[in-house]
Amino acid sequence: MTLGYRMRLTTDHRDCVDIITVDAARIDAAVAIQFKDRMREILGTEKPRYVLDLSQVDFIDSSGLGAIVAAMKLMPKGGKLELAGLRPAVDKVFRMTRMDSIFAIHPSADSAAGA
Amino acid sequence: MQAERLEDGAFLVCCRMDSTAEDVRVTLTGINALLQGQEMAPPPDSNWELVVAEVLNNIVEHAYEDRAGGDILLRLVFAPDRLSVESTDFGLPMPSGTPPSGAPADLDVPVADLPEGGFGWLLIRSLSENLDYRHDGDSNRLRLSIPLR
Repeated sequence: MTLGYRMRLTTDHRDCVDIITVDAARIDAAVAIQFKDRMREILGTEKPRYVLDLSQVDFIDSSGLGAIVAAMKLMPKGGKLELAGLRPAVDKVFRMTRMDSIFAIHPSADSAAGA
Repeated sequence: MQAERLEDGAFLVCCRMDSTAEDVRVTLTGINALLQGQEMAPPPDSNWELVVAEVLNNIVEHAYEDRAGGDILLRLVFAPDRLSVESTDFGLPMPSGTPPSGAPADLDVPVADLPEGGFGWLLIRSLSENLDYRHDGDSNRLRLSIPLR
């Protein structure tokens, strides 16, 4: 197996929330496991609220969607994983699978931080 | 990967890839690069790439059970109003002989029970038409079309 694709996530600690930014244009089957592993490392720090900033992601497939759902399940009880900055193609996947009803979704990371 | 303009103006792309998620990504980004500046490039909101990705991911995951070394052939014809997709693989046939219905999952469940998969056929069926699957000898062939406008 090749490991040619790196899934880079960066974390920005704000007052009451940590913003996790996906520094990649795609969350697809090629990086879904890596994404889940990186999220596990980050969410292990036990903050009550995280926002996943997807504003750089222009393509997500069902494996990527499944990885985000899996990440949400890693949150400790009472913790929240919210989403921000969904571009049209990403937003459509969440709507078509009705996963938009499961996550709090914000227009941008900044608006999420102020919410 | 081969591409050519057909007599009727449609844009034909043929490619072969290995049965890995990485090769699926390489193929899709390669097709996107080929379409750059093409008259027949689908509109950005057509979601064609999502449908093709789900078809290919299903082949990698189910027909070849996530084992590399399997051949996947893909033929795409981009016309003004629709994209015709044909995939061929030489892996396991679909279990019931027909593609899954893609019924929506029940999301009214505790978080721990939310589905992490099974969305692929829902997306394919929602965005495509004229789905036809045949298992013939050693090969699986799936055809579908995606309305573009």
